[in-house]
Amino acid sequence: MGIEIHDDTLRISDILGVEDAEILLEWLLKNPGGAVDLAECTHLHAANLQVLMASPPRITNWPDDALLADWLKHALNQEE
Amino acid sequence: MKRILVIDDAATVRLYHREILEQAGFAVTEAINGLEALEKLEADGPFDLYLVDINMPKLDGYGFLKALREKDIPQAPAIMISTESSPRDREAALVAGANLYIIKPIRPEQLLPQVRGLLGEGHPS
Amino acid sequence: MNPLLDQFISESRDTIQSIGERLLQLENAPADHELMNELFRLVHTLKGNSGLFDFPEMTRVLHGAEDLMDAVRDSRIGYSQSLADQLLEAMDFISALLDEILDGGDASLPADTERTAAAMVLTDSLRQLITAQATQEDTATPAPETLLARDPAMASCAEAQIPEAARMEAYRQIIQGQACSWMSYQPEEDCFFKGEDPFYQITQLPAPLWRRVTAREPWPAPETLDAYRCLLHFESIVPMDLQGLTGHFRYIPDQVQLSSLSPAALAIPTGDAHDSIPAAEYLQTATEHLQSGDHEGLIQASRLLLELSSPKLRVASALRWLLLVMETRPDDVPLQQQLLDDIRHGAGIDTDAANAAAPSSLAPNMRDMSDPIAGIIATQAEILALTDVPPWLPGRLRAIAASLRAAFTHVGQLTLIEGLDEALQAALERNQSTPLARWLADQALPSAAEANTVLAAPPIAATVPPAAPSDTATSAGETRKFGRRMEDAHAGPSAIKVDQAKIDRLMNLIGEMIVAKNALPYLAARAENVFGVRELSREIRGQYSTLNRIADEMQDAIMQVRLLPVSFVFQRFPRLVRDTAHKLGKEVRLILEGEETEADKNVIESLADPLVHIIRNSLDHGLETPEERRAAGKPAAGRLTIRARSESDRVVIEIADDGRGIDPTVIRRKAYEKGIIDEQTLERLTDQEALNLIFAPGFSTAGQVSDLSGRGVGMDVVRTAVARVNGSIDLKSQPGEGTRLRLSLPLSMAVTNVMVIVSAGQRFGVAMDAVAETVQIAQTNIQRIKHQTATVLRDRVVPLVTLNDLLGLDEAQVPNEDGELAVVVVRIENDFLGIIVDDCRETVDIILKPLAGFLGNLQGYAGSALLGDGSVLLVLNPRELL
Repeated sequence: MGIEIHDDTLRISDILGVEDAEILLEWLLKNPGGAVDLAECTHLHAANLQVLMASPPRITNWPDDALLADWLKHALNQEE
Repeated sequence: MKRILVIDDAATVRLYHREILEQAGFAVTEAINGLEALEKLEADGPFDLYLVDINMPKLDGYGFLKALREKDIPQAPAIMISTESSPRDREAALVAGANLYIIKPIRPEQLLPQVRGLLGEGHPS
Repeated sequence: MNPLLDQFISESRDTIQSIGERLLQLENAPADHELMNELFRLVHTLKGNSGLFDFPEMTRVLHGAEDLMDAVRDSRIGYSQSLADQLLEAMDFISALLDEILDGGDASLPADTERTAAAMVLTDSLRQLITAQATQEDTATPAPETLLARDPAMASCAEAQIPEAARMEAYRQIIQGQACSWMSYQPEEDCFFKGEDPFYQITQLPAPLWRRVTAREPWPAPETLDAYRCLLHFESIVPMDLQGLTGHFRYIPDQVQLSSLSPAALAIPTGDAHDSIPAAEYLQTATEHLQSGDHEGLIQASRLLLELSSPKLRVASALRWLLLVMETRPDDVPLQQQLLDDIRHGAGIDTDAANAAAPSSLAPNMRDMSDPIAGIIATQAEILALTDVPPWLPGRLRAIAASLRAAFTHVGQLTLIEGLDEALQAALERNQSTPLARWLADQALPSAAEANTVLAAPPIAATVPPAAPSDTATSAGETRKFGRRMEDAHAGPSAIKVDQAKIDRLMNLIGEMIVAKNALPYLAARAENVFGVRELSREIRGQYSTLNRIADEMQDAIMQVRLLPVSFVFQRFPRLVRDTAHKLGKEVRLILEGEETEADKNVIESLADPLVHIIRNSLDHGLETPEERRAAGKPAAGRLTIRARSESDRVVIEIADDGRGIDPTVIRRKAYEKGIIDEQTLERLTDQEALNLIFAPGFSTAGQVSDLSGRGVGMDVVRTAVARVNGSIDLKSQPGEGTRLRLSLPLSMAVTNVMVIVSAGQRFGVAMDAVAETVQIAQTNIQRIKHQTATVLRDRVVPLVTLNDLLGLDEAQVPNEDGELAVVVVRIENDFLGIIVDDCRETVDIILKPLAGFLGNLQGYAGSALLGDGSVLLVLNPRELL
């Protein structure tokens, strides 16, 4: 549940809570070229959303949830 | 003679409308707020047209219109007169039961055609 | 002056007065929402009224004031002292303008650059209060009002630059019956700390047709990012009706902006300008097709032009929309017209020229209200498109039907009304708008076309009212109705405003009538004594008593009209006290009581100046500075109480403060220094008598004349003013604890009841107010103590004087047959004095007129009055006589 780190990829599963935003931000700061895998993410708190927007990482996989993926892609300006 | 109920808390505005409307041959009754308008309606109503201000003490224009439209009496058109030009205010007026929404300041040449149109008279033959 | 301007000035004065009062009340209750609302409404009314006239400076300042009060009402900014000061200053400016208008007597003011500049400065400072405070409290959040002020549906769609494709998709959805709404959600910056998750709110909504997430300010560098300060801003088009969406955001209504989308709001052409496109010819053809209902022709012409235009041009966008509307809503002529208009404006074609070429521009157009009938019909269509089902829907539907019937009747399209009743009936049965909406859609095209033939032929007739109202030829039955209705129509407001001069005239007339009425007893006496007709005399007396009763009632009724509440004078005190206290650096709590107490207008008016003087005195000399008060163990804020009440036929006003009080020793010394009293008196005076010395002419307690209450007038002026209206004043003071002044005034002063007395063969009057009693005293009961004569009345020694002495007449008073002298006992302050006269006669009601001209300086007389027999009665003022 939450955040798993694999080398330079952060894998997010289930729900990313409000308190995870600091962790996410710290990790992104330490790993400027890092990627984020959202495939198994079902929801992330708005605080995490703005961390991703302020410091956009490479997204390896978008969430399976189409609606969530759609919003995230538009928020991160990565819509196809 | 068509009878018009003018509802506004400002005496000056009431007089202004009264002068325009009486000169055009309509009978005018005044009310100083929505509550008094309902009383006038009970006593002398129904009227042929309502000119309604929005912002009034005791009962505002929206409240009056809703109460009017809930009454089981012959329903006549109502013009809501406002200072706000935003669509939100306009929609609120139409929802409450206004049939026309016009924005202050009102000029006679603007008001009279609308009034005549809503009273169905004055058709140029 | 015209009545409307008159009304405007008088209402504005009242409103400004109320604004002042509310502001001061707000000072004591700065969080009172009800008060703020009322203040806003008052300013709003004032502004609205001024808009009826051409007073640009007034309207400008009031607009600023209204915006400021709007911000206060919405709690965007708090109430503050400087805010109140600024508003009061604005109101002073408006008052001055009103004076100017009144002087000019005209609904226009000559241009005046100084005034214009002053208005701009005032408006600026009002507006600065809004921005200064708003930014101070919340630097990042734009005021919600700026969001609301933007046209949410139309403007946002265009401003947000929603791609045309997305708007077309929404348009199609709406056409297919799926309501769509516009949402803009800007969460509060600290919303995360309130446990909110805006993104969750958003993802719980159905998939949007368009969406955008932005930051309300540029993202800071990641190193400095505060993840918990929410900067997100969500916007989307949601396939939901407004009601559902409002429900979804019901807990945070102030953070979202929602509106329901209509096809017209979405069909907004966007793109580059297109001045090089040959649109004029197309517009003419297209307009003709639109008028004649030639769909195919219009579609073909539009397709042709679209092929010729670069897709990025605005004209291309307009054409795409037009084609879409033709395809999906072939009957929506207003929207089609609107799009053609857009092409016309974009192409820079002169609208007037286009109008001449294409009279169909008179067709219904939702945006252009220059054609009232089209506007009415379009508005009804708009109402019918509402999807809400309020309890008053049936009434609303019937009102729409009434409006449509009227509009169609107005343009003579009576055949079109057929079917309206059935449609209304169906709508009422199903309790929804659809049947009426469908009916209207069916009528819309032909009605537009046919109405055009009516309206277009005489384009002027559409906007200019017919010369004669159509109902000039009324049947007898209608005439009766007309009469009744006219009465109804004039059953206007239950209170009227009457010019003071008119009431004064009534007062003078009733005065004359009372005098004329009083002639009747003389006439009766003459009938009996001179002509010897006792019968006639009795009849005259009978008539007199009837007339007397009516005159009394009439006088009473007129008195009632003249009654004013003391609040008329009191209302200016809060501001006076506040401003004066500010100047003096004192804190004062003003308590007003019994403001509803009524008295005659003249009495009330005569009160104003003395009261102002007393209040200033209290603030200046009575109340201490906050430091002094604290040192004395009192609360820092002094208390000033002004209390009015009626006591039988008098009104009593008390002005009490809890200040330093008056020290009788100081008064004694001062009075002695100023030569007001001699050494003997100095020692003999009681404390209370010493206090009363402050009413002596030329006495002023202040060490130096201050800016406020000084000005060389003292309490003697107050006493004189009060005495002039037959009032009295007394003073109590406790050093260190405060001072209390008590004014007692007659409720009315228009008619005075006087006793007629005779001395040295002349008649005089004495106000009954002053007369305690009349007695006959045997000469033997008059004692002589040194030079003074006195008598004992009910164990009380009453000093006696003779009227002839007082008047300087060298005659002795004449006793009656029994050797008794007539004595009028008068009360002066709290002392009794017996005045020996020759005879006491009847009492009469008179209208007292002050002595004018060179007689005006005559001491000892209150005035003169005309009696029923035509003779003049001099009325004595016992106090001055002594």
